[in-house]
Amino acid sequence: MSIQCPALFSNKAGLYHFPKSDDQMNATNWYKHRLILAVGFFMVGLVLPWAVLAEVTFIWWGAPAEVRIRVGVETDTTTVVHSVPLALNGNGTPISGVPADVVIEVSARRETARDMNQVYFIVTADSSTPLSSGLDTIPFTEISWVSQDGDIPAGRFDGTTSQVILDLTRARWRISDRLTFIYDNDQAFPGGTYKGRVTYTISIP
Amino acid sequence: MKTNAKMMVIGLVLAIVFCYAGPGLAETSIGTGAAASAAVNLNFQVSIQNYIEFRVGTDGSLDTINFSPGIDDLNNSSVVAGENGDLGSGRVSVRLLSNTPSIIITATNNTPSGLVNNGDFIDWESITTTEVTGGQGSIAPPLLTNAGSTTSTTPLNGAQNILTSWAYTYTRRAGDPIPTEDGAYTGQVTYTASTP
Repeated sequence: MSIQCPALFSNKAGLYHFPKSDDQMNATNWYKHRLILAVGFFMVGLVLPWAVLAEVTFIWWGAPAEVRIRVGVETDTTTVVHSVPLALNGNGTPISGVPADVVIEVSARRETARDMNQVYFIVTADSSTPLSSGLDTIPFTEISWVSQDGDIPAGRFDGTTSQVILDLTRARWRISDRLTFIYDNDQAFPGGTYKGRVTYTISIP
Repeated sequence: MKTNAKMMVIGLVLAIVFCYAGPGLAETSIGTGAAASAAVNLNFQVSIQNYIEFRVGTDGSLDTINFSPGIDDLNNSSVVAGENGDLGSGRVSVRLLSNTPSIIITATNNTPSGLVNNGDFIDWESITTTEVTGGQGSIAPPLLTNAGSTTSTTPLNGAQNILTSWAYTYTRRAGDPIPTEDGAYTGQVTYTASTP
């Protein structure tokens, strides 16, 4: 039995020699053969999607350099709602926001392979404008978050314009996580529907 | 040959899955350039309901304020302090826990012609309610009247936990007849806290 393949997988002079028949191999060699085949075609397959599937366009490096960020749903601004039950108002019981798993994805592509391996990106959050209901306000410092994977560290909004959510030592290519936001509910604020907005920014210093 | 083909397919499938699960993303905001940045928003909403917790006097029971004026008090229209109440001496504690912008206290009596005893009446206006200073916050008490109900409005300016007290006194007003019936003149007042 023989298979005609490109040079990498040749039955003649390539890097890998296909056995001519099953009886030429003992059991150990057969498993090695299967493993090498799988790994080999896995590597070939890594290249194929860019050639065959036009929609797979992410390139690890190349001009122009690019950063991307997504928080919540892709097509609109997500609103995280904390509804405080009347009986729990201001009693210190934390109130989780809905949705409880807000997707956050950040990634960067550099112009050169060198940059790709050496330059980190940073993610910051602007929570300086408090939530408001008429003249009443709730500072964003009343809201914290935990993450599903820990890729985005758990934290608490500090009410500043450029709080570091992901520092310069943690990611160079891509981070994806899911966040659950928590309202402290440790103060009895006046009744109302308080609304506010946090802006997340990815940047390459 | 069959096994080799299977291995090829597995390798290709793994590779394609890896490609899609890895860098193939659809993002909301994109920035380009060597020092690029991109920003997205996330909205937050905290919904807090209005609430009122209100108590006058003893928690869980009805207090009765007594006045025992002597004949000289009636003749001279002296101010007679009350008796009883959860704080004694005709004084009751008042607690209000609320997060409304302001609060309205309404006093409504159940005998609009006054405190009654065998068909004789003492006007509700003869009883004066004053807030005793020095508590935690302040709630203006509504005055009692034969008109049926009166109100007082207290601005709260945010969530408040108020603990104060009201004191009651009796004074026969000039021109009012001296009560002629022996026995107790009674009536009941209901206090209601509400938002404007």
